[in-house]
Amino acid sequence: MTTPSKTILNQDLILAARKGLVPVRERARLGSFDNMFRKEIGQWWGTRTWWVQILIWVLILNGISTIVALTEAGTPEEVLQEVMQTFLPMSVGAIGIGTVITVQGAIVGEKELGTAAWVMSKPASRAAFILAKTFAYAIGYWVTAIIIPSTIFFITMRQLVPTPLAVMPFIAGVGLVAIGQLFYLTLTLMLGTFFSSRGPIAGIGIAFIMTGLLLKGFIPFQVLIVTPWPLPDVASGLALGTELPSVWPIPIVAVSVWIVIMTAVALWRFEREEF
Amino acid sequence: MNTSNGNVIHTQGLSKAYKGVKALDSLNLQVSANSIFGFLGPNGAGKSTTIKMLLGLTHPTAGKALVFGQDIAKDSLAVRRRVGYLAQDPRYYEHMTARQTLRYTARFFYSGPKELIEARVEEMLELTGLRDKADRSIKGFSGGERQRLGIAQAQVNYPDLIILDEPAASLDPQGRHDVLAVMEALRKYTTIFYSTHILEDVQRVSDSVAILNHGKLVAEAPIDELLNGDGAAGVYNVTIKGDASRAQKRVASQPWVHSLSAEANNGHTTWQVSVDDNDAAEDQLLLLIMEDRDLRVKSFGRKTHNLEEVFLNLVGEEKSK
Repeated sequence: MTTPSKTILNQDLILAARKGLVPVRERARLGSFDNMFRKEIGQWWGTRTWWVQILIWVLILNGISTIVALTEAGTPEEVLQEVMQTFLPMSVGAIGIGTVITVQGAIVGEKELGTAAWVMSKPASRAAFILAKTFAYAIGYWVTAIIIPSTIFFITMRQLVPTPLAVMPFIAGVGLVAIGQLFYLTLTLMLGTFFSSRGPIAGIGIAFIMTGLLLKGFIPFQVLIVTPWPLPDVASGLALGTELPSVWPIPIVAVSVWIVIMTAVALWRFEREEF
Repeated sequence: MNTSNGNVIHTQGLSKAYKGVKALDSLNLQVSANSIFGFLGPNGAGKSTTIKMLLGLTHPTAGKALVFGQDIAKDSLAVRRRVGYLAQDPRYYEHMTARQTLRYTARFFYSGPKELIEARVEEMLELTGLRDKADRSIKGFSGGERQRLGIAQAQVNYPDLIILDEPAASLDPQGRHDVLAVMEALRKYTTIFYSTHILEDVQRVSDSVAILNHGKLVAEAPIDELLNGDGAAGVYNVTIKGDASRAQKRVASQPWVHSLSAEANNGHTTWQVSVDDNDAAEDQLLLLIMEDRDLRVKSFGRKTHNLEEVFLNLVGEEKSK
């Protein structure tokens, strides 16, 4: 540290220079969103996270779907149907589990470590803290786990399966994977605002996904239709252009509503957090 | 600086309870601008709770507080724009370097220009002696280095109020000395409100002190007033050479003298005179003694307490209630 006299001299110079700094725009609801979003997104793209994530998802999603394409017997249409019914449902489930595992500590970790309290002592709104994480994790996952593997899948299948695969329906199917991911992301973040340890968050999130995968047949239709569990079937149906039951938009609308509700609940709960 | 009646911090009946247990009970506090205000109390007294409420990190269960005349509950963001805060156990993102942490902190307050933000970061690194460690990950920082970084980040926005929660607790004597030097240097530009249990530090740098115990304010006064007694009952020590018996009668008969105790030793008499009126004592006490021409006054002065004594007395009184 410098001596006091030097400090005083510095402070005089500093105060003179202070006038040149431009204060951030004051936004009550989303104060410091830009700064926190930049930091969150930097944790994806400024570190090795991005390529590790791409590697994992390409290996899992493209690896398995390519093996299915190479080993499945039947007409090209049958092979494409089989591969699509593997790739998109597997994407919804695996990316959902990946999201829960990765995001479980996003809020709890900061509460435990004390960094959330530090950030909240700055002029940062609590809503911006949650939304910065939501957007950064959504973008990170969509690019590394959805867009890149889906693009590789589309190119690979065009080479391996000699039957046309329409672009727009495929994009629609991939879009549902993204909505599914956003559902599990907002669920995990919401749970993070309620709990103070990772265990319950991961437990509830993964149990929810596994219930949909294993017990879907036992759940009443009226309940099933408003959950994300039908999304894998709807996604592959849309991508293949097969006829879907007339109620197919309902889970999409319901999941979108759940995303909004869970985000609102997370914001409400985090506003009441005591650090 | 917007203040409430010249006070940077003004709390009224500020209270906090956790599951029915009172952590802070009806705190009334005034902190004037450009002062160094020491907030004292034993562990669990409610110091950190108060600080967290001022920053909007926890919410009061009753009462209110104004910082710069703004309500901490309604205008928390506006308050935090003008405050620098160092937590008791400061924690930062471990993957970031000191420079990145300061840059991130600065970006909460300033959108640019980039070169001025970088210059400010550089100044803070220099001020806290972290320049040579600026690009090292915080993960490997010692407690003292984290504290220095904490002081740097608390000042990055030229705060009008700096709130420090036990700023010197984890520092070695040199580190403590440096922190106190920085606080004294900053007095000209800002108000410093800090909690501590290191009484020696408070006595050295503070203008005013508040003592908290079991969530209750037990004393609040300028440091000199606290150390000299409460003004209504000052105590004067006088050492006299010679036969002081007549002078003792004369002094003891004064209406402003509360009590007088005398102790003789080796031809000297030492008096301890408790008075109800300090002005009268300062005007007349010495003259009354000197009426006896044979007497020699060897020492005369108002008794001052040290802060530890005051603190222990006040906290002890509370305990015995």
